[in-house]
Amino acid sequence: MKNECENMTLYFYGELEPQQAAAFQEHLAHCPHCQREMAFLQQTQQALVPPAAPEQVVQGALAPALAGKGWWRRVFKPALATALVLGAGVFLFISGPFGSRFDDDGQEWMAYISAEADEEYNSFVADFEAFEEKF
Amino acid sequence: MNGQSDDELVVGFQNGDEGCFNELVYRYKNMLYQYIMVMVRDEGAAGDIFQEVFLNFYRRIHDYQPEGKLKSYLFTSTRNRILNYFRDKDKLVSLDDTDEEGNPYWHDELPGNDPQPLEGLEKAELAQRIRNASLRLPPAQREAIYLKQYMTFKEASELLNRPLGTVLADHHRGIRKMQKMLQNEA
Repeated sequence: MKNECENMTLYFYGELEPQQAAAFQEHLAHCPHCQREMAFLQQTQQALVPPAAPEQVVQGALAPALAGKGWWRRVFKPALATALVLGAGVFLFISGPFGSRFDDDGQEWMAYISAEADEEYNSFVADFEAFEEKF
Repeated sequence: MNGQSDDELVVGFQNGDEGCFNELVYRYKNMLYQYIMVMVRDEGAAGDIFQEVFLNFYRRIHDYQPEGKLKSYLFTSTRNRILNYFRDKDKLVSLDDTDEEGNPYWHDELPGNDPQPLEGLEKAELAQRIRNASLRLPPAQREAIYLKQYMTFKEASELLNRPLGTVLADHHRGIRKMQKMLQNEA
C-alpha cells in the first residue's frame, strides 16, 4: 500500500505508465491520504500558474530592441571607448610635460576644444537618436 | 495563437522573419520570468536576466540546431544566468533563505494569475498563501516545484543535472512543507 502512495505525484502529473496509473487509480479510491495530497497538489498547481511578465521587460526582449542593443554593443561602445582614450591622450598632452608651451593660452585652448566636443557630441546624439527611431 | 512549433519559428527567424523571434519571446515570457523571479526575488535583476537570455538567444540563434529542444535550451540558459547572478553577487541568500533568527529574507508577495475576485475570493487568498509559502522553501525544493509547472520530471531532472528520484523527493518535501506552513497559519 505504501508503495502505491509514492506514485501519487507522478500519477497527478500524468507521468506514470498506463499499467501503474490504473493500479494507482484503484488505490486512490480507498486512500484518504492520497486524496488530500492530490487536492493540495491541484490547488498548488493553480496557484503557481505564471502571471504575465511585465510588459516593459518583454518589450526589451523583442527583436527590434535586441537589434538596437546589438548595434550599441558592436559599434557604439567601442567607438565611444576609442574617443575617450583619444580625448584623454589629448588632455594629457596639453596638461603634461608638453603643456608648458600652451601655458599662455591654455585656458583658451581648453574652452575651444570643449565647445567643439560639445557640438560634435550633441550632433552625434541627435543622429544616433534618429537612427534608433528609424530602426 | 500561432500553431507553429518552436523549431519552425526558429527556422523562420533564421530565414530573416523577426516576427518568429518575437513569437518565441511571447511563448516563453511568462514561465521564464516567473522562474527567474522566484529564484532571484529581485525585479530589477529578473528583468536583466530575462533580457540577457533572449539577447543571447537572438545572437546565437543561427547556431541553434532545430532538434525540438528549445524549451530545454532556454531554461538551461536562464538557469546558468541565475547561477551566475548568485556567483557574481555572492548572494548567500540563495543557499540559506533565513536570517539568524530564522525569518525568511523574502517578505513580499509574489503576483499570481488568480481568478477574478467574483469567481472566488477565497480561492485567490488561498492561492496567494500558497505562493507566499513557496517562497519560503529552500531553493532546491522551490526550484523543483516551479520547474514542474513548465516541464516533466524527466526534463527537470536533465535540466538540473540531478537524478529523477532526487528531483521528485525535493518536489515532494517542498509540497509537504508548504502544507505544514499553511496548517500552522490556520
